[in-house]
Amino acid sequence: MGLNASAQRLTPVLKEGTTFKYTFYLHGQQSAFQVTLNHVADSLLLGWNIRGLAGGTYLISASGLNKGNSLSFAQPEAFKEIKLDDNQTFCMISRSAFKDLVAKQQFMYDHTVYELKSDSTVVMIDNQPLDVLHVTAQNETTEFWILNNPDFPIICQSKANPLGIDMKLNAITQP
Amino acid sequence: MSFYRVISALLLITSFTWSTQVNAQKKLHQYVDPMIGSEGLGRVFVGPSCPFGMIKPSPDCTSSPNSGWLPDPKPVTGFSQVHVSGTGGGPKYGNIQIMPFVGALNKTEQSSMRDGETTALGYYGVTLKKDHIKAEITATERAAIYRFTYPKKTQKALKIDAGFFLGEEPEPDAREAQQFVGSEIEIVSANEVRGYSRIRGGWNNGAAYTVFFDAVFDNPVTAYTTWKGGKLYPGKKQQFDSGEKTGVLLAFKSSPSDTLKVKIGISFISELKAKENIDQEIPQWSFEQVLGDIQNKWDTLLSRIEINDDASLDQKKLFYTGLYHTMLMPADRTGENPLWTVDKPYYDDFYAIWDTFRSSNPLITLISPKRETEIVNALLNIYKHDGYMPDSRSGNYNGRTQGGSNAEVLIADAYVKKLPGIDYNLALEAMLKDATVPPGGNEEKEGRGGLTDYNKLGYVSYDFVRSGNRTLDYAYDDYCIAVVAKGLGKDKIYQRFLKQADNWRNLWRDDYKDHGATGFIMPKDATGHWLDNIVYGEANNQHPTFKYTPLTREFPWYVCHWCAFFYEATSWEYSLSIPHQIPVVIAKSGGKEAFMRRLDTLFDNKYYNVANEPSFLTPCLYHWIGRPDLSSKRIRQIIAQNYNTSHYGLPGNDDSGAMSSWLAFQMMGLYPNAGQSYYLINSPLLKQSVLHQENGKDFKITAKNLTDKNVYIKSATLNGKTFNQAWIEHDDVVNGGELELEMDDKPSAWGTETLPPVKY
Repeated sequence: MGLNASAQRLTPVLKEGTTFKYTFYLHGQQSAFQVTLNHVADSLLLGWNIRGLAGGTYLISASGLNKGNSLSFAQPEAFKEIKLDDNQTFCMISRSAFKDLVAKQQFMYDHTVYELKSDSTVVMIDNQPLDVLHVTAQNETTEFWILNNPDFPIICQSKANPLGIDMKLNAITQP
Repeated sequence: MSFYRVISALLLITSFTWSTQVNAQKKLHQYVDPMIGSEGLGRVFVGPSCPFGMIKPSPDCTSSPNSGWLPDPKPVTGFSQVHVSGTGGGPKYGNIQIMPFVGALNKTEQSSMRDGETTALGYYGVTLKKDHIKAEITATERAAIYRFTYPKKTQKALKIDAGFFLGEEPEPDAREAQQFVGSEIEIVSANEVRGYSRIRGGWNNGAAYTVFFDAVFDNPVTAYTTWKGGKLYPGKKQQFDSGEKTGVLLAFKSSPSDTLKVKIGISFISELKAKENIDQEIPQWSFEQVLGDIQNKWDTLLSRIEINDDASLDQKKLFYTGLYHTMLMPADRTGENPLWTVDKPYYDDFYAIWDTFRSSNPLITLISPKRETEIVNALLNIYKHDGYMPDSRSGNYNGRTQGGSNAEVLIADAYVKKLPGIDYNLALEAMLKDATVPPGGNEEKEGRGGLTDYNKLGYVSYDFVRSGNRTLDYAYDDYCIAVVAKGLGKDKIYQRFLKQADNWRNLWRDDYKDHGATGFIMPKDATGHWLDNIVYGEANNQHPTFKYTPLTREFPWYVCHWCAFFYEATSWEYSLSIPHQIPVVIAKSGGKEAFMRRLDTLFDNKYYNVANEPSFLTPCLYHWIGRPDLSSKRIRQIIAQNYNTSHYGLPGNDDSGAMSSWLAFQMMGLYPNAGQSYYLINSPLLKQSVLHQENGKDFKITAKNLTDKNVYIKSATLNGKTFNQAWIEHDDVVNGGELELEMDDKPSAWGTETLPPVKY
C-alpha cells in the first residue's frame, strides 16, 4: 500500500498498454521517450519508443521487479530486448524499495540512500498534480519523483542525476 | 477565394508561363532548386544568395530553425539578412529582420501564415496571408532588394527588428544558443533607416559579432514608432544601444503604386559601410535587374561544368543544385573584417572544414581554383592574426573544432594540385602551429585538443573527448604536413610527420573481431590498455559502465554529443577512414578478400552512414582491392536510396554543401581523395561532363553507351590512348583532354590492376 494520496492528486490506473510519455534530458540534449507496460506478469516487459522512429524493450525480471536494488540506465538498443540483471529495474524502483520508502521514509538503491522529502513540488499531468513521492539522494545530487503506486513505482521525474540522464513525465496514456 | 487571391493566382500563373518560356533557353540557373534538401535533415538555405555571398536574406519561420526557413504551417516571423546553409547544432545569425504589414503602428508582433511560396535561384517570393502582402527578395553580394506588393488602398507599413536573431534561449549562456548583446536603430531621413544588431554565441559559442545595416525605401516614411525592450515610442527617431532589443515600425506615404521597394545593405564594419554596399551594388531600383545579375553570376560559375543536354531534368536539377549548394559558403567577406585591416581575401562561416575538406573544397578547386586559392589565403591570414587557422569559424570567431586541424588538408590539396598564389612556407608554418602548440584550454575553438597526449603517446587517450577521430584526423593531417614539407624540401619535418601519419595504427586493435571483420580503431587509456567497458557519469556511490563495441554510439546517452570516442560515428565507419594508407588497412583487415567482405558487411548491414562525412570515401575503397565495379555499384545504390529532387532530397545536414558536392562528383564519375592529387573514376551517372576550366582548357568525361543497364566501365581512353586505371591525376584534368569510358552491362577487368597510388 502506498502513502495516502491527497484528495486532488491524480492516481492513474496502470495496466498492460499504459504508456508514459517522457522527455529525456541527455547531457544537454532532449529527446521524447515513451515507455509502455508491454507485458505484466511475474516479470515486466517495458517497451520504449522514440518518436515512432525506433523502439525496443527492457525486460525486468521477477526478482528485479520485486526486490531489485539497482537502477539500470542501459542505453536503449533499437529493435532489441535488453534483459536486465536480476537486481535491476528500469525507469522504476522495485516493489521492496517502495515498501521501504513507505515504511521507513527511505530506501537504498545503487549503494545510495534516498530519503523521502515532504515538500510541495509536484509533477503535473494534464494540468493535474500526479500523486508522487519526492526523494533526494544522500551523498549524491539526485532527486526522484516516484509514482505513489506500490505495484508500479514508476520514476516520473529525475533531476541532477550524476549519470547525466534525467527524465520528466509529460503524459500517461491508456490503451 | 478572395478577389485578391484570384489576382495573385493569375499573376503566379503568368510568372510560371514566363518562366517556362525562358526555360527553353536553357539557362543553367533554372535547374537549381533551392528547396532540395530544405526539409528533413538537409537544412539548406532557401533564399537568394550570390556565390559565397555575404548577405543571405530568407524568411525566418519562428526563431528556431538553423536555416531560418521551415515548411508550412509554421508562420513567417519576418525576413532576416544573414543565414548559413545546411548546418547542425545551434543556429547562428538571423539578423536584421524586416516584415511588411498593413495598418497601425501599434504592435511589434506581425507574424503571418503564408501562401504561394516560390523559390528559384536568386529569388524568393511568398504571399503573407495575414495582410495579403506579396513579398519578394533578390540579392547582390552584400545587399538585398525587397519588393512588397500590398493590397490597394491600404496603409503600407514595415517592421525593422534589430533585436531578432535565431536560436534564442531563455537560459543565459546556454551552449550553442545565440544571446542578445545589443542593438540600435535610427531613422536617418524619410527614406532611410540604419542601425545594428550585436549577438554572441551560437553554434561555435563565439564572441559577439555585429551586423550593421542601412535600409532605404522608394517611398517616403510618413509616420514611425520605434521600440526598445517591450515599449513603443511613437514619433521617436532613435533608440540608442542600452542592451535592449530595438526596432521600428514605419508607415509609408500613399502612392499610386501598391508596391514598396526596400534595399538593405549589411556590413560587419559600420552602418556607413552598409550604405556604401547598397550604393555600390544596387545603385538603381530595378528588382529585375538585380535578379538578372545574380542569375548571370551563377550561370557563369555553373557553366564551368556542362553536362549532356539530354540528361534528364532530375539529373540536371540534382547536379546543378549540388554545385549551387557547394558555393553558398564560406562567405566572402573581403573588406568586411572588423578585427584587423588587411588587403587579403577574408572568408567567414567555415561550417566546418572537417565537413567540407573531403568533397566541397576539391569541387571548388575544379570549378574555380582562384576561389579556392582565396579561401586558403583567408585561412592563412586568419592564422597570422588569430594565431590558428580555423577548423570552423563563424561570426569572425574560430570554433568549434570537430576533429582534426583539417585546414591542413585544404593546404595539402592546394599544394598537390599546384594552386598558385599561396605562400606555402607560411602555410607550413600554420600547419606546424596546429601540430606542435596546444591551444591551451581553447581546444574547442582551434588547434588540436589532446595534442600533448598525441605527441607523447602517439594517440589521443580516452581521457580526452573524441579521442578516436582526433587520433585518426591528426594522423591524416600529419600526412598532409609531410606532403607539403617534402615538396618544400623540409626533410626533417617531412620525416617526423611521415612517421606520425602512422599514428592511427596505435588505436588499431588488430585482434578485435566484430561481425566477421578483424581489426578496429578502439578506445585506449593513457597507460595503453584497451577499454572494453567504460565508466560513465560522475556519481559518488556507483560507477556503472557501458560496453564499447565497434557499433557503439555512446552519445548522447552516456556522454554528451561532443564527448564520444568518435564524433557522430561508430568504429565500423571510422576504422575505414584512413585515406592515406588504405592498403595498410586492407592488409590489417586480413587481405583483399576479407576486406571486400568487410565492406560488404558495412553496406549490407547498414553500418555505413551516408549522412556523415567520414564515410564519404568509403564506397570507393573497393578500388584498392581491384574492384572499381563494386565501388560504382555501391555509389549508385547510395544515390538511388538517399538523394532525390524533393525537399527531403539530401540524406543529412548539407554542411555547407558537403552532401551536395559528394553527389555532384559522383554524377560526373570522379571522386577526390582530398589532400592527394588524384580522383577515383567511377561509372558516371551522366553521359557527359565537360569542365570548362579557368585556364581555358576543357576536360571532357564521356560515358559511351551508358544506359540503365550499362553501368560498368568496360574500357577507357584518355586523349585517345588506352587508360586502364580507375583513377586519374589532377594534372591530367587541368591539362585538358577527354576521358572516354566505354560502358557495358557487366563488370570487366578494367581498372583492376593498376590500383590507386599511395603517395609520400
